[in-house]
Amino acid sequence: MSAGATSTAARGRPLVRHYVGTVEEFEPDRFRTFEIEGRPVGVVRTAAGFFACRNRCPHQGADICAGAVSVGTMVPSQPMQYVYSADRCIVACPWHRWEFDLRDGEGIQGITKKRLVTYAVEVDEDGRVAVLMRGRKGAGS
Amino acid sequence: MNPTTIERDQGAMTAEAERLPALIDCDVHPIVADVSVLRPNMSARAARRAFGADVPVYSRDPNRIPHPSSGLRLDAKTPSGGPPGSDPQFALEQWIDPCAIAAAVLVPVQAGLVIPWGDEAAGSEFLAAFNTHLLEEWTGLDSRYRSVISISPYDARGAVAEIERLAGVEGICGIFIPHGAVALGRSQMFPIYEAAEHHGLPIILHPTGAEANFAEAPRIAGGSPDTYPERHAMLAQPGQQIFTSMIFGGAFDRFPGLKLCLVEYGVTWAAPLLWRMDRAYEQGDGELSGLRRKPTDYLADNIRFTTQPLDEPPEREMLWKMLDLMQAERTLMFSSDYPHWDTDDPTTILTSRLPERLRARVAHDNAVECFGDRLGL
Ligand code: FES
Repeated sequence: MSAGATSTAARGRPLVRHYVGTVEEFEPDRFRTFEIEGRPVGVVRTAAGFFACRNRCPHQGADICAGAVSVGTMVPSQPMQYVYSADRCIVACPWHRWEFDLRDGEGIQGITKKRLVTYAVEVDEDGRVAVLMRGRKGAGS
Repeated sequence: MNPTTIERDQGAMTAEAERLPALIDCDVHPIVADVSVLRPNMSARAARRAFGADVPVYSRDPNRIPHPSSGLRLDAKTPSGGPPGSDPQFALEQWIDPCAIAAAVLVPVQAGLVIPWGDEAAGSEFLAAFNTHLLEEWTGLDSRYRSVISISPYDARGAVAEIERLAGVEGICGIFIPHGAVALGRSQMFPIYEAAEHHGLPIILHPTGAEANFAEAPRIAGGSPDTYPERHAMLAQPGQQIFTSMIFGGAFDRFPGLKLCLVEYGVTWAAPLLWRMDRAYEQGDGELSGLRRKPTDYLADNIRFTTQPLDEPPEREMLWKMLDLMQAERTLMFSSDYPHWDTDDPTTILTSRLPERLRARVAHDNAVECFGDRLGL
């Protein structure tokens, strides 16, 4: 379990910082995966910042962090027109290629109502990267 | 300070899978990363046809409809960087072991390479080398991999010879026909079915990727699709054609023990199509008078379907209704399509998409009834 965890009281259970490495240990657009409090979690560094999510696709449970990360995706358009939007930071599942926004876990183009579980990430002044997760129910802080 | 780095946490999935009967996966795809390894087992003439003569041709785009991303799973590249499905040891580690698969039917869609070839004999020779290679490399490595005999649809004599060569080999469980320009209910195919019935080898059909892409491949009726989603949605159509052609062509009357496995063509269309076929049969003007039974009556005895890609209607009860209508308790077998991009996860399919009453039949029983001892269980 992560040592050096810092608690911040928020909405009932506290947010706990779990340090997962330093900035330079993260290759751009390549997830690194961890087990944090028994949960499979992936952390990725992108041009739009760091993101973290649960390493489980809401569709059929694939390890979504083995998927492709990109800033931007194709958006709805007329047939045979290809319109790209750089508005969103995306992970595409390695299986059926469902895409999810890494900021809020929303399925792109309404492919599903289920959300990818996401976590906040903080980088401190020493370049240490932390995933913020709510502590388990009943766990002391 | 040190969260554990994990490869793949499949604990929950495996626990679910363990509660099901021994799982049989009826669609796992091996590929030969470099088919030129087959060259030493082919004549110079056939090799020239298969691999070309180093004469570059710049003006042919071989694929009418490219895949928008990749036809393969992004997480299934082999440790040495090879394409997904090219390393049987890695497939054991990534799929067969974690999913507790007791037997996997290898469906080598690469056999479809021969569909556009003009040289039938070279096609048969290539497929013989291909069959031997997969038997040695996959089934030879692990007996859970069950191989098939790939044959050319254009060369019935060559196909029968290949069936006779391999039917008695341990590890062989079926016959794969790459679907080309020949309707499978035609009597020219009957020598193949006769050999298949004689040896207790089900006939397996699966889209090869050639459909609507290459010359001599099945077309999509009404005009070719222009995009991948359009083509993918229409892949049921060649499956429906095989189904109709083999029933109305009399294949199951001539060979009552023959089994046809339609892999990856979808399943929910079967019952409505049979209603139409039954009515056509009853109203027929004598053209079908050779058929001893009405089309629906062949279903449970002769025809099997596989699950992937299982339609995902808004409510799963809609799917359950269609499955009941197609007699899924007798006709439906689990398939994953590993390592293709649209792999289905067995636990998700069996426990949250299918009704409990079908789970054991789909996971295991129907495949055992279809393939029998050839699954090596
Ligand atoms: S499992 Fe992720 S898109 Fe299907």
